[in-house]
Amino acid sequence: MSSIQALFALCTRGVRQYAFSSLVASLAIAMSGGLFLGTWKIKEGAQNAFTLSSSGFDAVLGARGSKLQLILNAIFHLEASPGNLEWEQYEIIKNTPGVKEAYPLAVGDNFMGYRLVGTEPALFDEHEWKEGVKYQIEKGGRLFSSNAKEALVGNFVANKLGLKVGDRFQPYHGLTFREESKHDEVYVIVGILSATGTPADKVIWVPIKGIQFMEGHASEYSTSVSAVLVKLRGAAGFALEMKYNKQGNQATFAWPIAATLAEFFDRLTWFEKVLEWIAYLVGSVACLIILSVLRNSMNERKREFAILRSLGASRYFITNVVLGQSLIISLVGALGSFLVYLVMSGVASHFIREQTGVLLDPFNFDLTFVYVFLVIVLLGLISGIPPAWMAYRVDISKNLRPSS
Amino acid sequence: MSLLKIEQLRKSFLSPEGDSLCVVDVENFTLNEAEFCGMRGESGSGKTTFLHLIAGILSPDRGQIQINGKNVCQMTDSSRDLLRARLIGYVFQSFNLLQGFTCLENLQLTMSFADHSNQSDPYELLDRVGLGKRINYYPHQLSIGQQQRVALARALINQPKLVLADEPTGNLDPVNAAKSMELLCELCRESKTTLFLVSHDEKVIQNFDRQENWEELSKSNCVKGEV
Repeated sequence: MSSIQALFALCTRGVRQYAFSSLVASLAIAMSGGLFLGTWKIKEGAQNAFTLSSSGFDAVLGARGSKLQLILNAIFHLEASPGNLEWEQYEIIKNTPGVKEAYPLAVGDNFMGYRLVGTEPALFDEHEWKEGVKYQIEKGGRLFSSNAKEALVGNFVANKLGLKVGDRFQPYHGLTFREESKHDEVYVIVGILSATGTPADKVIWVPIKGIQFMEGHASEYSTSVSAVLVKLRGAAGFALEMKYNKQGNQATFAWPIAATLAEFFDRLTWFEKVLEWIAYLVGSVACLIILSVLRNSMNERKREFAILRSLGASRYFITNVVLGQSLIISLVGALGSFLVYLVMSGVASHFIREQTGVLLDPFNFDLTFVYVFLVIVLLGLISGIPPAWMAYRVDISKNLRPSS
Repeated sequence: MSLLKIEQLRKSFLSPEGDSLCVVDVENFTLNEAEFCGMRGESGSGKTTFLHLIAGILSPDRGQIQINGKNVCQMTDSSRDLLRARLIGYVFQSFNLLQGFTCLENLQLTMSFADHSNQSDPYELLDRVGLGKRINYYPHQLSIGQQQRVALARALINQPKLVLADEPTGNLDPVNAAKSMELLCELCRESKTTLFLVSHDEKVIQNFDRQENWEELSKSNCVKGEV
């Protein structure tokens, strides 16, 4: 048995001897590390994913109101529409120099809780939702016709509701599902959109006229749109923002989308801070538990250490036994923190996908993981220093119980 | 040739009343290589302290202890640890086996501290003390006599030059005590190891050619008690 093997044997024996308290300490570290990683990475991941999920648009034109509400409604299909715009507004912005693409949107109906979004078929023909990538329709399907009661179903919705090409459905009025508000119109599904990992997967796309002229909708619906998705050319955004937001009072031009979303995430900083402080608190408790476990074990292991010293073990060897024990506890905790993180981020990304259609990638490797791992191990080792110092100072003679 | 040479050795402790209490005061003491020496003395008279001083577990107030020509008192802590691992085997009255480790592991751990090539084979040694079939037993799974034999094997595993035995039969019944003494002497004789044994038991001391009295050797003013 080499010195290293002897050291390892003594460390693992120490952990096994105090298995329950060691496990509690490791679990506390795992919770703390996992919470910290989860808070940080999920927020960062969500912010990146939301920013990238602007579906290739630079701006949204909508009724007068909050820019954020407009973006959440038109891009992420969340919250209620702040109001409607005249169809004419769509025509004006579409023909404005500096506007590369413009697509009208109309909302107001759902099927089983999933929104029906009316738009022009050109959105799926011409628009690149990611640079160089257009929407794809799964084999056997096609794009809806602008004058027919046809639907193109987002991939997520199709999977959730088990919809396929040829299925028929009747929409329900409003953005939330209420059984009694069923429309009479029957739509036929002509295509399933290939998965994009963007909010487009989470809605049922229909011709805009379908929403505008849906039976039971007010007559003004037929000449209005809920919002216009805009892709700009060059620096036209400044001029349009000036025109709509500063000089005009009819519409709001939500531009740039990324900056507006960043403001939204900045508003959540307090929540992130709270979770961060909870993680620090749990981390401190974990360190104290390690300290307490090792200190308690020290009281019982003094005799064992004195015997080892009497056999020739050096002070440093004994110190390393205690530090090694804290290293094992913190290593287990650090590995556990990744498990906690994976569970947390798995749940969070499922929830975000369900609510927004945005796909997070919790497994995306980041140097943060390495730093957090090292910090956890380092903190564990630091917690082991006071008991290791006690071990270093063990008085052999006193603890060997002199007998004569 | 002398293996152990002690001169003007003195060790005192502070009593609970705050007085200085001298427990070891030895003018001269020597042990030759391969010599067996038994020292009698009453319990609590300072014999264990004397052995701890020789093993470098305690530091003296003054005096010199030379083992194999090296002055233990002038050594650094880590040199003393290494000397203890390589040159000294210690047999305790209460055996002091590591409870969480098997017989074999108790020996292997001891070997890891000395880390030199001149070591006995732990399997052979355990077989020699009659525990060849119990190498993977933990101390609590062994009888008292068997535990004592593991302790003897552990003291000799690094082939030390000097074995210090502190009341090695104190916890054994007369039959086991006699067997244990016989085994200890036999093992030391075979390996030409110097044996220095302290005991309050006259029967044990009578086995030795060289016999010493602690009360005559140490001129300390010690009172009886745990020292």
